[in-house]
Amino acid sequence: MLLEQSKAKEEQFIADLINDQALIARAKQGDPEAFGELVSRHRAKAYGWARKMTQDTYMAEDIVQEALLQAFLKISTLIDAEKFMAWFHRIVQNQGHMKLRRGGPYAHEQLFSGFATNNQEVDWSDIDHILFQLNQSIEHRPTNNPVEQLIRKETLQGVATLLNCLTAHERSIFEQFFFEQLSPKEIAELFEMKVSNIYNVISRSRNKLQRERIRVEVSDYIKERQNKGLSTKKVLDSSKLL
Amino acid sequence: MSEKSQVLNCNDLTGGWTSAGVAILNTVRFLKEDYDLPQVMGYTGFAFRININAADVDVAGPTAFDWESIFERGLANLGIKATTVRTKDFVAPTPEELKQAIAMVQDSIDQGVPAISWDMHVPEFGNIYGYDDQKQAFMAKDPAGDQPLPYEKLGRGQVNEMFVATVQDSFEIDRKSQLKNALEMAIEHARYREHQHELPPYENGLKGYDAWIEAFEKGQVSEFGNAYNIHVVQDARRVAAKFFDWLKVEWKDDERISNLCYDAQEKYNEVANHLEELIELYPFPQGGEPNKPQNAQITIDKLQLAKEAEFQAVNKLEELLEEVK
Repeated sequence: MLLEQSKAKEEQFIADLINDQALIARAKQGDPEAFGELVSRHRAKAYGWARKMTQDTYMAEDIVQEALLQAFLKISTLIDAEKFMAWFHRIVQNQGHMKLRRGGPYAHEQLFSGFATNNQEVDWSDIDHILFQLNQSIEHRPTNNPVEQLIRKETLQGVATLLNCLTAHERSIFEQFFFEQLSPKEIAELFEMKVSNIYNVISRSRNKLQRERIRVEVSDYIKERQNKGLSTKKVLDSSKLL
Repeated sequence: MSEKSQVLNCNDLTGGWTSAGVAILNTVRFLKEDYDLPQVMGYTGFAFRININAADVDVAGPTAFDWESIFERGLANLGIKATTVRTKDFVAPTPEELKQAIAMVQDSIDQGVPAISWDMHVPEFGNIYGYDDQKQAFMAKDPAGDQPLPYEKLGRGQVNEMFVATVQDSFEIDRKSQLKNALEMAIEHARYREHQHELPPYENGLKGYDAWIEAFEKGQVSEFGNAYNIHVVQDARRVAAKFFDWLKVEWKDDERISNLCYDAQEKYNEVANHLEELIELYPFPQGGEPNKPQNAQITIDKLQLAKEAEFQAVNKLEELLEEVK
């Protein structure tokens, strides 16, 4: 009896997994219905993870919604459908960390705006510069919670270390993801800038990232051609052109 | 497209004002050496095009049409099966679309045939005739010049949209089918609106002249756009006349057809002559003063005469089609 039950469960699990894969494939093609179905399937699970992290119902809800939006934006970059759950979990965690780093549910007085109190201009389209600034701010920031300060510092240092380990391609994806995670309002808070300015900078920055992505993809394409032994240069007789 | 984005010089278009026709000829020449510009423009329908925005005669008119179908159909009538790829209006390609287009162009060049593309050095059609992976650049020629075009700039020119057409295959096509197809394309364009949407208020064919007159009556004519349209249409009709001049000889073994070709040649020359007087009034790119009432009246009269001549020309095309069928 027990054996039968566990077998049925396993079969259900496999069936769900298969369905997930089909849905993911469709969602990757940009099918909003498939994405909606995926969302409703995983929302409960995601909510659970987020709640565990934040211990706050509303914030968890908030985080999940944000994470789902990000998931939709990012789903086309997923290569391995089986990794969806693991990947999705990670996005929720990242979102949670992001909110916690900003002070957690009951610490509104610790907004990031406190980070950029010095007068030095922040080139926030440059991730290295942002990290440097944030690190500097933490060093010189009065705090009544040394543990949290340590966590923030380690998180930032972790990100900086991670960045150094990425290939140019991975890094461009990371940067794009980073800028997509913060709304203009959040960044305005972060650096005490006007929201309209932020929109301009974001737009410039997005273009820059887009160009960077194009550049990297074109380089990869050329390498691929090289590996296949295809010709690298050919010019037709241009004197025939009007 | 914004008007500022399209800055050309008169001298840039000495190859012909319809850059699509020139770009097609440049590609076709590498496969079928005998073609010249009048034949290419005539058989592909570009010699008969007119597309006017009734609101202001904007500069985008001559290139505002369904590129994929018009290019593919026109090239098919030259015995060429073409493949096209295009992003939506004013949308730059994704990395995937860009890579697909680069691969298409490289395949074409590997097979010895230049590709056709859009907005490389200026928002006009042109050709890509070489590539260099090391420099990550194409060799590209369009009305604004012959110079390298970085791979990543394909589809990221002045208007941010990508179009590439390449040859997939070429085949034999008999002169009768060619003439019949050309006449059908020209008549369809003259008589039926080819736009799916009501706005922008583009009108093609004979109604294009009405739209043009309407804009002059309202006094809302774009100086730059009007000058460009006049040059393009006038040049195209002169080319249409040359096409029939050649056809009447090509078909000298069939007196009926040859005579009708002669009539069509006369009519298209008439259209071109009426428009030529406007060219002096509206030089490109300065554009003159189309919204001055005195000029507007002269222009409306000339456009009416041009329309009447074109109407008669289209009637000749229909008679010809009956003969060829």
